[in-house]
Amino acid sequence: MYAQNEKLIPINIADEMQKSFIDYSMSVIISRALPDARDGLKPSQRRILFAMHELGLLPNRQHRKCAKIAGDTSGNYHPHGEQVIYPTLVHMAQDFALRYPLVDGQGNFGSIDGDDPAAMRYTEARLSPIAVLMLNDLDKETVDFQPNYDETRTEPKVLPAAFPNLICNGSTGIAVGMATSIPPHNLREVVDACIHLIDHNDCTVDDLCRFITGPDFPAGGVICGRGPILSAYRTGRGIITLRGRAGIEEVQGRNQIVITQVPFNVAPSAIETQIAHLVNEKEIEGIADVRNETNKDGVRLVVELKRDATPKLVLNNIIKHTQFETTFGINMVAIDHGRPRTLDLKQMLNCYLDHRHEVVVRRL
Amino acid sequence: MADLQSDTTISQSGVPAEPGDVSRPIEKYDASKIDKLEGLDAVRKRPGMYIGDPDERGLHQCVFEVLDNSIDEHLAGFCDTIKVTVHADGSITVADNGRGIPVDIHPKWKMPAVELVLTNLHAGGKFGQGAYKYSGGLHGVGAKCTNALSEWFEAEISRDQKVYHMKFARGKTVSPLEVIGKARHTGTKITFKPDPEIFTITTNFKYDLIAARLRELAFLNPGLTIVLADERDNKSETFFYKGGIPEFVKELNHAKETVHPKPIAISKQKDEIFVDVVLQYNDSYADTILCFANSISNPDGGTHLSGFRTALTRAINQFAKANNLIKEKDPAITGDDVREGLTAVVSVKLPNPRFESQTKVKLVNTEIEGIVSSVTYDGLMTYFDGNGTIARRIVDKCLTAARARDAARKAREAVRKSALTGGGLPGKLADCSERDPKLCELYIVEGDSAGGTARMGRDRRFQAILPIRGKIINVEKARVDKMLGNEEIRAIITAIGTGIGTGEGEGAFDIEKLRYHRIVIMTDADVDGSHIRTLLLTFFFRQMRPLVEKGFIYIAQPPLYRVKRKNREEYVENTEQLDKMLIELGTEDVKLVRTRDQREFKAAQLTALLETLAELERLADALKRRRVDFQRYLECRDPQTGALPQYMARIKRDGEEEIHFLKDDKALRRFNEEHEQAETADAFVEQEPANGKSGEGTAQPVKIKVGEIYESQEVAKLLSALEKKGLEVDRYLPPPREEAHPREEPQPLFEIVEGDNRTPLFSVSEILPRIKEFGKRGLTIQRYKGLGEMDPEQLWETTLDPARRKLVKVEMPDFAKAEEIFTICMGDEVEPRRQFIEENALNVRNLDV
Repeated sequence: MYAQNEKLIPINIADEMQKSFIDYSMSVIISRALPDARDGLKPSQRRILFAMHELGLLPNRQHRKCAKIAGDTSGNYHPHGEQVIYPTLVHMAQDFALRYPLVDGQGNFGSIDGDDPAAMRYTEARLSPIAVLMLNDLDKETVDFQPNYDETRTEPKVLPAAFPNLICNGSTGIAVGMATSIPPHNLREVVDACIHLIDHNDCTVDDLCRFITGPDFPAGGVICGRGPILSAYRTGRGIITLRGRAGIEEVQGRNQIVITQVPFNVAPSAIETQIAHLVNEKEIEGIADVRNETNKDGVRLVVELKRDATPKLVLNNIIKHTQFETTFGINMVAIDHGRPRTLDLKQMLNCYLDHRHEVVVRRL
Repeated sequence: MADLQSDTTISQSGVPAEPGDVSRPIEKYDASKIDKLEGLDAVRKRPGMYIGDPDERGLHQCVFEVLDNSIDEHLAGFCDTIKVTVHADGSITVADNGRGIPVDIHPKWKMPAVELVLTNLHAGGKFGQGAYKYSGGLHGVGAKCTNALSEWFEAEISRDQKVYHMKFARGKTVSPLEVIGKARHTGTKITFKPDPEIFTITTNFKYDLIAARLRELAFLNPGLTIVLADERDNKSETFFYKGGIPEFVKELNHAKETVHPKPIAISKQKDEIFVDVVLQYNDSYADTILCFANSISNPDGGTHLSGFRTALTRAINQFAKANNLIKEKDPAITGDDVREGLTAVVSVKLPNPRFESQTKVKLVNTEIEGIVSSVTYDGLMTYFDGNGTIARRIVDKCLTAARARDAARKAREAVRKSALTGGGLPGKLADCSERDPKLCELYIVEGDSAGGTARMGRDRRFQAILPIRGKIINVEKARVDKMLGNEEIRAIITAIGTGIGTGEGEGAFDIEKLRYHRIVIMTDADVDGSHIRTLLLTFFFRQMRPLVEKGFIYIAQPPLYRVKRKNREEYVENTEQLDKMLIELGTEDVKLVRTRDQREFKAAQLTALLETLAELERLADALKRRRVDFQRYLECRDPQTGALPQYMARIKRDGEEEIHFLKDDKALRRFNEEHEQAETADAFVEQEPANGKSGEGTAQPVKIKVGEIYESQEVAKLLSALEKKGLEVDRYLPPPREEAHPREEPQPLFEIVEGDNRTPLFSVSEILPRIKEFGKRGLTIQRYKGLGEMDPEQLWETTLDPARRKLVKVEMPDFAKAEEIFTICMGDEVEPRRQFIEENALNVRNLDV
């Protein structure tokens, strides 16, 4: 049933594997999982913001349905299906996930306690004021545009980014053979450091650390030890230890430990489960009950103690055995001039400043 | 010289009879129909007997034949450096610093020995005359075949302080042996270009194929330096391994976690035979055993392999029993179990090797089996006695393998049974009505949306469709039981019907049960499609390897572009075709006018012209990468003959560089005489000249480098073709800047005329890009991303219909290389993968949006 002179092209399996694998891994590295060093956005995020910009969803306008935003992004710029776009949109709206949310959401966008957001036909969104800063001057030919996937429209290669998004909001992503994990920072500190760097371009990372004292996580918490922070800033890689905040209250003659802040990316309910598990396994003594009272006012995890328990001792055990204390691996990789690069603090700020310089010059 | 010529020129009797002639009934079948092929004609007529099929493998065999001579020179102890260079025009150079082929006149045959060994079959130094004891060459055939199958073939021999040069074309001498310069050291340098008349399929050398062989050789011959350079894309690599075979084994294992850090090495001489066995276990499940006889790879193994295998199984079982390591309920340790995770190299050196075939894929000397077996057994037992902990670890691993094999067999049986009782085939499979597996095809399609299109678009008589959803599990990282738990994998296994793995018993792989003789991977043309393809290939490679080895796996080629113009739609397969199409469209309504005399070039003429230009562009790029100033090079063109200089000399003096183009061998000789201190062109020129010691005298040493420009003939050919078509070759490139803006406007050389529109062009090289621009106008070019974008009808026309489609057939010529790639790309270790990506980042074909 085969045709007589069927065209068969032989290929070595090793060649085919190599080609296909390189295509895939390079694409994931360059244009999927890692943020651009200039505006700190991954392509999917940038396309959502740009699509929202085109829909005119400014902070002073009405919210629009997320389904509309996801659909427009998918149809115009991001040929990958709405079901992967919506979670990206939601992430940009969560004030516990992003230090400075880029999207202002209306409706249930999930909670720090691990609740899922409502379906996209229910929720609505518009750009946050910070996102408007990211998009400012976009129409003044300040950045390069490229054709979209079917060459019917154009999209920006990078946003003008009047807001230093990469360092302020951080980024995480797993590509192939490499990954990135950049912690968020405080805008005020970052701006001071930028100004210093503009005035003293030969300054060291340590000079900049006078302004930027450490990461600033959206859900609060404490970083244990300055040494690891500094070494991460100097090399672009390092591991820091995060801990939540807890206090000891006395209610009706009994002590209770109240956790009011948790480490980044840890849900209070996860700690609750872990404590309960420890109690059942008898690894921690002295706990009578655990209640998760987290609500709109904030995190509140109450650990009721038995009468004879020593609060400090129990708290130390919680620190030791649960995610109340975790580590955060810093690995500051971003795409700089089309290539992945591990950046130290100064290089990261310089990438941003160079970009802004270009934008400002092109605007004039 | 004349009588020598007649000796070497072959068969004056004309073309021998075609086999077809015999069948004609009218002609008499008598002695006139019988012919004897003389000399190298036989090789050209029937290359199959000498190098195998004239395909990619045969093409590289030509290189290896020449290379093997250099290796034999090394085995004899006279050569420590070999340099292989692929040139941009498709020729290749193999140079060594051995003794050099003898050039004196052979007393019996009355011609220089070099001419004798390069043109006369069964002439050589490897028949026991004492020049070589252990050699891979034994027939006296190799280099002549390469010579016979080459468009041209040059030998340059440095010997007795002189450089000799000789040139052949298709096996016949075109320029006799002559002295072209002085030499300081000795060596042989062979350059040849394979003949496209013979190698009709491809004449393109694959860097990776050559590199793989060179690496092997460097490992097998510690102390030998081999340099590979590819001038087509400026790649080069040096292979030098002090550690020899143990280092080879370590390298094979470098991306894996090893069970014991140091490979076990056994090396022994018995009678006249040297046996080298090196093995090391890693934590993977596959085995890699490479066999060599006199440095020649034997992919099909042979007696040395079987001797090694029996000894290994026996030694491990013996040690386990003697130390009471096997418990009662453990399954017996079989040959499969001791090979799990084994990386081994078995190399023997023996006088008079015998191989199953001309291509030397299998060793058949029967005495070798016993010798390898006893050497390996004794060596292993001694090692095990001295290294108890490592031996125990190895036995443990073999036991785990045996137990896992047992468990996997049970799991497979369970899967098979459930599949059989559950109605047989997976629900998602749209099977075909034909029952004969030889005629059936299975398309494994990415995603349900494409699956629907494929199901509707297929010919249901013999094409079956199996859609799989999303990314399947990476079997390189997952254990067998987890893999079998994956629904998509199970659907594939039951649809194909052969079972998986390598063990025996019910549920084991059985090629007889294959339900389709063509298994076609059809994924989207985006990068996720590429990823799914790699995952599927990994599954087939690891679990159904015979399907890959025997060529049952294919890859569909859906079109990459849809080009729309007004109401016409067309599918384009790849970027090269798109280029071709743009040229075609670009030339449709336009003509090229030579301003000088208003001569017009129209459609067909113009197309041919543009193809030549594209080819020239490619060569020019290659030259530019080698720092040849193309503009100046063209200026040195001989206006009468159109010949281009063959050599380029760089003279470095006081930090300034002077470049001379040398027309031919004569000019080179003259140049060398003028610059006495210079070495002649030879592959090892990169060494500093001896007077390079600084500090002596005040003058900076003068450095001279001479390089051959192998592309010269090809470029000259293209240029004369262009000239014949009426293009001013001397205006190929735009004039240099200062001349480009004189006071008056320069006169355009050509004009592209379209109706009343005239576009002026100032140089020949501008033509191609401009025409392409014209071609793009009015077109909508859509790059396909998913198969779901096509109608069933369109999919049938472009991808499924056997009469119109193109299929890529997956083959595995180099197991070690494939093994390495799969381990690096899909395995557990991140660091080698990252490195691999960095090294190959520039080879990326398409980047996703």
